[in-house]
Amino acid sequence: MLSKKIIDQFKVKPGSKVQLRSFDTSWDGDDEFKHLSKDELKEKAAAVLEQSRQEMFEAQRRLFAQDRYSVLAVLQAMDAAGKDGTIKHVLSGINPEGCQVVSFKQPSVEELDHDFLWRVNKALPERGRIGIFNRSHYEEVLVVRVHPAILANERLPGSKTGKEFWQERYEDINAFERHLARNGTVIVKFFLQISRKEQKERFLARLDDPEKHWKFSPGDVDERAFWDDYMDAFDDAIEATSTPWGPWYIIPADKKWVARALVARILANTILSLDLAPAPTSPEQEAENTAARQQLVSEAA
Amino acid sequence: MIPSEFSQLFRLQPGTSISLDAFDTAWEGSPAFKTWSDQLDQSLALQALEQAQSILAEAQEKLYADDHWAVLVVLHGQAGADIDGVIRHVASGVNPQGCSVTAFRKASSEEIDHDYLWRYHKALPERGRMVLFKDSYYNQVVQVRAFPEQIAKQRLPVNKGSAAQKPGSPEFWKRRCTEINAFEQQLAANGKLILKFFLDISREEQRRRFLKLLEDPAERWKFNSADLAERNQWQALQQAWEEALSQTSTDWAPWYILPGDHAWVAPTLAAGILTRAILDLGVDYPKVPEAVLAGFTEARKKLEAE
Repeated sequence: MLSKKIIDQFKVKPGSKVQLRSFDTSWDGDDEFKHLSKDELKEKAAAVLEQSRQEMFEAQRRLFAQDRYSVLAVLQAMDAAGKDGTIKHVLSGINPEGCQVVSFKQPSVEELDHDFLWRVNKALPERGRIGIFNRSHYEEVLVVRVHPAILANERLPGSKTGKEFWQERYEDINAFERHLARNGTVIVKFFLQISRKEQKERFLARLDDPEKHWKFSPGDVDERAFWDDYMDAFDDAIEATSTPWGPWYIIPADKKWVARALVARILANTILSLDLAPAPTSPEQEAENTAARQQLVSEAA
Repeated sequence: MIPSEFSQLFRLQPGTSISLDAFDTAWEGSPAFKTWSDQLDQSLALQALEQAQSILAEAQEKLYADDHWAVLVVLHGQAGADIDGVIRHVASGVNPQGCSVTAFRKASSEEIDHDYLWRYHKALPERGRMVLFKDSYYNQVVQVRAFPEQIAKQRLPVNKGSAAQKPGSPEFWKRRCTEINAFEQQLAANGKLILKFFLDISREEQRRRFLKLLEDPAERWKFNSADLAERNQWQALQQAWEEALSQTSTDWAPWYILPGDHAWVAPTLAAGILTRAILDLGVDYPKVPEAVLAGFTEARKKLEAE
C-alpha cells in the first residue's frame, strides 16, 4: 500500500526542527511512484483511502468491543486547508456509535473562566471510541499567539509573557497528553498544510460557488495578512509538542486526494498498532452464558 | 426510497391506543403490512435503503450548513431488537461531523441526584446536528416500571402530594408520560425534529437471536445477563411499552412502530421515514444576505490584487 518510508517522512520526530516554509505542500508521490501518470496516481490514492477506511472500520469494531483504549486524532490547519472534507471522506460511514467529531468554536464565557484545557478535557473520547478534534487545544498556542487580544481576554494571572509563556503552554500540553496516553488514549495529530497560493485559489472558488458561500467570511481574507505569524506559531508549536506519546504529522494538502489518503492510512495504522484482542470472558460470565443458553433451548420444547 | 405513504402507515396516530400483540412483527400476516408486501421485497428494500442513504447524506450537509434545526432520533425495542443494525444502516453514509450516537448506560450517582430527564437533556443535539439515542428517557416509563426495584433507587420524595406523586402508582407513570410530552413539545417548538422508532420483535425471534449470539464466540461479548432478565419480564415490558407508546405519540414527536423480525425491513423503513422528515424541513445551503455579499466583492478584489 504505502511504505513505512513514505509515511515516516511526514512524521515530526520528537526534538527535530520544523520549518514549514520549506515543506512541499504539493507533494504527490515519491520516486517509487514516478512511473505513474497523474490519473494513475489519483487512482492509487483512492485505493489507499478505501482500503485504509475498511481496515479502520474493522479495527474500530474491535476497539469498541475491547473497551480499553481510546483514539484521539487532532486536526489543525489554516483556513480552507480541507479539515472538514478530510473528516467527511476519511470517516463517513464509520459506525457513529464509536466515533465522535468535536469542533471547537469560540470559547464561551464559562469556558474562559476555566483553564484552557478544561473544555478540551470534557470532549475527550471515552474508552472504546475514536474522537476527532476539528481544531483543538492547539488553538491556544496558535491563533491566541497571533492575536494577543484573545489572550488578554483569558483573564490570566501572572506576569510571564513572550517566549517563556508559550514555552509553559507547550509543557502543559505535553504533560496533559502524556497523562492521557498513559491512561489509554492513543493520540495522533495532523497538520494539513496548504500553500498561501492554494488558499487564495480555494477562497476564490468559495466566492464563485453560492452553495459554498456559507463557509466564507470576508474576515478570512484579512487573516491572510498574518500568514507568516501563523507559520512561526505552527513551527514552534509542532516542534515543541511532537512527542513519542503524541506525534505530529505534517500532511501535504494542496492536493485534497493526497491529504485524505495519507490521513486515512496513518489513522488506520495508529489504531491497528494497538493490541485489540478481546478480553477473555470470566468464569462467572461463562457460567451465566451457559445457564442462559440452557434456559433458551428448553423454552423451545 | 420507500413510498411516502409508509411514513403514515407506520406512524402511531396521536391519541390511539396500541396493542403490540396485534402487530405482526414478521410483517407478512398483518393487514396493515399487506398493503405494501406486494411492492416491497428484499432487493427492493435494499435499493430503497441505498437511495435513502445517499439522499440523507446530502440532506445532513444542508442541515449542518443551515444551522437552525437539530434532529433527534430515539430508538427502542425489546432486548434483541436490532437497534445497532438500524444505526449502522441509517448512518452508513452520514458524515460523523454532524451525527453522533448516544447510548445511555447505568445512571451515575450524580445523574440519580437530578431529575430523570436531566442526563438526556444534556445529550441532545445542537442545531445543525443529528443525534441517535440508543435507549432514552422512555426507559424511565418502561424499564423502570417493569423492574420496580429501580424506582426505589431514584430517591424520589414519597411522603407528600397526590397519587401522581406516589412512585410506582398508575397515576405516577401517566404523570411521567405527560411530562415527557411537555418536554418534547418544548424541544420541537425550539427547533428539534423528533422521530421515535420502536422496533417490534416477537418473543420467539428474541429467543433465536439470543441463542445465535451465545453460540458465536466472536459475538458472545454482546450478550449480557441483563438481556435474559428482560426476557423473563417480557410481558411486563410489552405492557409498559403499550401504555408509553399510546400516551406519547404526538404531532410534535410521533412514534413509528416498525416490524423488527426481518433484519432488512426496519433499517429500510427507518432510513426512509427519517430522510423524508428531514427533507420536509426544507433546509438548504444558507443564502448570504445582500449586505454581506458586498463584503464578498471587496474580499475578492483584495485576493485578486495580491
